[in-house]
Amino acid sequence: MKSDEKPNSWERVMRILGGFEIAVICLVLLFIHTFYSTLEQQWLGLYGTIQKYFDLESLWVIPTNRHDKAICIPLPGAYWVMALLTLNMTIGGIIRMKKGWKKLGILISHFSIVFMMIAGGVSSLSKIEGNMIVVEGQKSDFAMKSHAPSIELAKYGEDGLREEPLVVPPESLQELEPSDTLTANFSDLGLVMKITGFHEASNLFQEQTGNEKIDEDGPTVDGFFLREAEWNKSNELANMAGAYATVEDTEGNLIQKLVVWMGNPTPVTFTYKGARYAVSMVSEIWPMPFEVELHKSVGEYYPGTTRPSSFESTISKVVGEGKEEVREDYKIFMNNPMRHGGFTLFQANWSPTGEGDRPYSGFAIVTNPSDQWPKYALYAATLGLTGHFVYMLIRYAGRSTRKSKPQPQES
Amino acid sequence: MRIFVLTVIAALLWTGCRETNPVIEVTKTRRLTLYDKDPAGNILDKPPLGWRTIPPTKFRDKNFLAGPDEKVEIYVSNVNGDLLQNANRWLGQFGQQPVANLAEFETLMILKRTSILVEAQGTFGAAMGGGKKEERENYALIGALRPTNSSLLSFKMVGPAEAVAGLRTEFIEYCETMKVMDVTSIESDEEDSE
Repeated sequence: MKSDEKPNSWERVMRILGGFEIAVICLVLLFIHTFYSTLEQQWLGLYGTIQKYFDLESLWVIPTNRHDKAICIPLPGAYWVMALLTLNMTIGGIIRMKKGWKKLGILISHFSIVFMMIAGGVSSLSKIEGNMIVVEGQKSDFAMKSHAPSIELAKYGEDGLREEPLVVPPESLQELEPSDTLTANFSDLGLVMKITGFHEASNLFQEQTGNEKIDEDGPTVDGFFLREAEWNKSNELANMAGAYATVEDTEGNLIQKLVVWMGNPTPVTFTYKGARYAVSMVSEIWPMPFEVELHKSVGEYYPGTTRPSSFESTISKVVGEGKEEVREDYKIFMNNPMRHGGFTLFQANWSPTGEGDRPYSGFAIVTNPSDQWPKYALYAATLGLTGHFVYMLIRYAGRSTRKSKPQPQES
Repeated sequence: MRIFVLTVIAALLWTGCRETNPVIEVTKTRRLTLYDKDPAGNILDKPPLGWRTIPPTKFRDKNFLAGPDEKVEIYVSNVNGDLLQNANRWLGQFGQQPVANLAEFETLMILKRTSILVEAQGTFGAAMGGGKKEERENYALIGALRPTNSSLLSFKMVGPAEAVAGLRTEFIEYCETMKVMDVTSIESDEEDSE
């Protein structure tokens, strides 16, 4: 292109999208996001803040104070700002950048930063997190997904145990307001469940025990009613979802009215066509492809506090059964997780129980296809920048040598 | 500018749309795990079909409603004190005189231990379902008490006398068919429930 030739529209768009101006705006916005989200974390909690500022569905964010009053103009959601920054870096730092051997190191480092941003996007879209609690001397093969209330309907078998449950997924429940009704059809069983009065955080009260109802409370079912609770920010796992479930047949005939609450250790039941069914509200149960046997769980507190300073678990990972069983022993401690087929198992907490009881370990389980990508990106960035640094050093040294070379004196 | 305005409108519409009464077809099943195989308190029970489990309460680990109009309450709990003391407390709730020794009660086997069966009928004067005390005439109680190492396992059925009598066989069968099932232990199987 000649210098006096005007760029076409496409080139102008590319120049704007890949320009420093957008990069600077994005970085300033991300700084503001970080500032307000850190501030709001005090009253909104970690999970709430991540959802509000960094979620894919947060197109706009209005930072608020603890009384829900706006304290800043609306900001675009951080996820989309990062998406724009990635695009900006891809166009400006890779596509439009002058290529050549001299710029190879810079190009590699730009590419690795873009790759790291993509890893964050993939993680945000596909990461699954859960918690597994195992008492010393016991085993577990499931985790419970964080912030994912689900309703399970299962038939009882002849042995008195539940058969494979049908699951009303968290995605269908979490969008509900208390006044909404979710109609869940269980066509194979000939049942319809109407779910209403859903609260992500609630308490279950027994009416007979003198708990007076207020207008906002739900109806009384079997002597119990639900009341919305304030979201517990300091211990988000303590928030108990609850709802009312009306079970009908496909003709609309009432079978049973039930109240389901996450804090109940046992499901509530109803009978239909000679079979007994269990209905429970639980954090979505996530079956693992392995069993974790906890042999030893130890921890230490910071002196004079009840805050654990270190945890360590000695476990066996068991895959398969009978002759095909494969056992591997691990020691899990802070920053030393166990990995298995895309699952990463971190020690998240530890608790010594009361006198005479056994301690338990709480493991955070994460499956994230881009788990290792940031590491690879960092290796690449290090390689690129080191290469560029060495190249520049050699070039500088070469120039300096040439400059300081003594000129032959004329006789 | 036009593109910016359209983008903002589209964003607002996207965030503003929400279905208030959705309908879904539930087909997703979940593989069974130890969560399903591990009974609460390591005790596997098989309540009769006519008993309906309702949420547990402060002193009741298991709560059932049964009988006509679900007027009969059945519950399982852990209680302190000795067998005779608790049996006489139950009798006292019906205004009956305390008995002097355990030999006066029928026995049954619950979780491999000899337990006693307590029966009373008349005007029930204790609270039901955690509510206020109220006198209920023509009521009956069938209860079983099983000693453990530290306390007592209590099974109690209270309700209108006729309904309770009709559920007597089911109640005894329920108590006698309970099983200890510890599927999560990685140590050698324990014989007892304690």
